[in-house]
Amino acid sequence: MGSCRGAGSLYLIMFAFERRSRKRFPLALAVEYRLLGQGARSGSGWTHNISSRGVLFEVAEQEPISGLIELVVSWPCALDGVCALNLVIKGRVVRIEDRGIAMECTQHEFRTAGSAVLRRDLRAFPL
Amino acid sequence: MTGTRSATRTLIVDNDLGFLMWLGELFQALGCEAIPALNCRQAQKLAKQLGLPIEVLVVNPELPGARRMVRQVAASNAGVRVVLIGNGRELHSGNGHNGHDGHPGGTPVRFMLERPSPDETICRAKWLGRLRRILPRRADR
Repeated sequence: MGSCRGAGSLYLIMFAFERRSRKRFPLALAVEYRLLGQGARSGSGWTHNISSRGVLFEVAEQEPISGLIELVVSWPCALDGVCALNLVIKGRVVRIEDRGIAMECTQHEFRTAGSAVLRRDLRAFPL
Repeated sequence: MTGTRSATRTLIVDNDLGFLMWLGELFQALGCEAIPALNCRQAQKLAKQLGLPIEVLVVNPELPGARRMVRQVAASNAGVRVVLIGNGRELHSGNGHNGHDGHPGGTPVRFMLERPSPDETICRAKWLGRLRRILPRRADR
């Protein structure tokens, strides 16, 4: 009986984990991107969806995008009228599809205007 | 905005980046000032840094430090509405339902909000309705 309960708990934990890790949420937010490493350049675009694992976004530029990338997503509100908040996501481009560019996240953090204050390294919490 | 602010300040704490951003965008569409955080330590740091009174706290109760944070936010923000994000394991039904009535003396009013299931089609209008039921009544909402 005890082992059955244990197995059930494990299943529920895994189910909850799946809910968190795979669901993509449709969000159209303005982004600025910066390609890291060779061929570094920057540009702008907008998101199609965001999940814990990655972001699907589209850019205005036609040049191919690949490799390591940093996205800055503007939080659409000034907090208390003074403090802008940005979400900074680092990762790599994993595929290009009709709807846009799929990026896998390795790290993301919220930054208030001026300095990076909040950091979460996904390598420490793999999802 | 300070002094004449009418937006409901909402602190959202969850480690699911997509859900966090989704809730934040919806709360802002409902006229709130939404503050997102990926964990309780970030949330408390950000709230302290910005000096914000919090009117609605949306939190994943499974996060480390969640209970403590709820107590602290409730202690310093009388009448705060606490919304617990469920993962489908809690013994309750529905979304955006009031789980417990508030008590005199500042005990927070609690709500439950279920995370969408993997096969659920995300409907913005439906989610706006869920969140609207959670927010304090305002003439402009």
